[in-house]
Amino acid sequence: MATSSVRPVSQTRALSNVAVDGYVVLPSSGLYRHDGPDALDLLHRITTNDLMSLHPGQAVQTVMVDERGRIVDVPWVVMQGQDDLLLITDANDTRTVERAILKYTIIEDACLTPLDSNMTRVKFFGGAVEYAYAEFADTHNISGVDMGDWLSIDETHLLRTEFGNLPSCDLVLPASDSESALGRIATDLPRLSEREFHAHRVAQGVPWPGYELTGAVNPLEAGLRDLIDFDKGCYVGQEVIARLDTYDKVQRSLVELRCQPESNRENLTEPARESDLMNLDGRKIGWLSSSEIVLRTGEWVGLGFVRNGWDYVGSVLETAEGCQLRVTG
Amino acid sequence: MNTIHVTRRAADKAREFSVKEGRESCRIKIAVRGGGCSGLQYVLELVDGPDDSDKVITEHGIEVYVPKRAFVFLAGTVLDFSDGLNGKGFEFQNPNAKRTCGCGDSFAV
Repeated sequence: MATSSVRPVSQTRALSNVAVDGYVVLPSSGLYRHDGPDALDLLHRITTNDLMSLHPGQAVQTVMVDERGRIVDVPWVVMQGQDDLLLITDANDTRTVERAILKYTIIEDACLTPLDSNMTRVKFFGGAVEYAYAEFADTHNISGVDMGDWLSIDETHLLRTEFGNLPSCDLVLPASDSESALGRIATDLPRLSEREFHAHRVAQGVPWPGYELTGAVNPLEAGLRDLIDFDKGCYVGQEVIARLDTYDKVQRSLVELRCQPESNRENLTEPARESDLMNLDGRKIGWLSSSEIVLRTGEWVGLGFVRNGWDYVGSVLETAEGCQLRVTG
Repeated sequence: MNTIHVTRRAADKAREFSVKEGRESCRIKIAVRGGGCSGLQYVLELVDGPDDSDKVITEHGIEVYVPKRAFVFLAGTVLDFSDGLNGKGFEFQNPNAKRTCGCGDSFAV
């Protein structure tokens, strides 16, 4: 089983200029219960990672792709108990994942139930993770907590994840308990707005549904190789992904972008998401998938997909508006 | 087109497997489930009898059960069997399949 979470584009960049501790209450987190004797087997057959090795109390992130190998969603699959799974998705339109699962539920004995309305999900990252574990697991020491460990105390759950280079965890709890729980855990921690959160995750090189993780790309282009088990056998889209990998046919990759210091940055004060990216000869070689300003520092940060040959660190690109960007990871 | 056919060769082979398993009569289930490279995967198994929602077809002396939810993907399908070194074993000739994967186990409609 490939156990890594979504990896940052770059694992090495210093992050002194962005917030590294904090939490965000995710606005449209999709939580689903997926239960029944065929629930796990079904998800195993329609996603990239090996789910059959999961044990109760474990979670793994996996990629749901379509028949053409394009990304549909990148959910976490949590095994709460035998035949009892929880699906966690960051998709803006959670109906996408719902539709994809229902499409393939034909003779399977499996039931998908949305839990959105009565549960809340809070993502902690950096040092804030220790606060969450101190409150719910009675330990500050998270070094012994493995990626994908799922801890349940009554109706409150903690999922250990990573967020770029930072430790992270997702707290899932009844909506009615969330404010009091956050009052106990997080009074001293910065709570990020949705906008601040996106600036933070772009600075960390973390791809996100609706931005980088879309049907325009496949998991190999989006840097999700760690979420693909190449030995598991057939799943929807497997033939395409195996061919791309075997014959080295991946055409583009996700890169981190910063403004060239000498570039006219004023052109980018308004996010120019989905702008074309050109090489210096004016040829289109990709697009900008995320564009954010880190409010604390005013630094512009971006993520984009760039064709092979222009995706190396130091490569200089241009937006359609003429602003020069540098690939940094 | 509104049913599923089993060729004599496939029926004989299914019967042979039934005898090997010590079954008194040959009853097979043909179904479709999500998965496989192309999205939908064939299911073929020996069973004891039909489920409530199964459509029952009798051909060449064997009973074939098809879940109603799977029938929409299988209407008009012929189950054949090809033997020998180059044979593919049980083979589905499905007129609804717009695309099949390399191994032939899965298809898209």
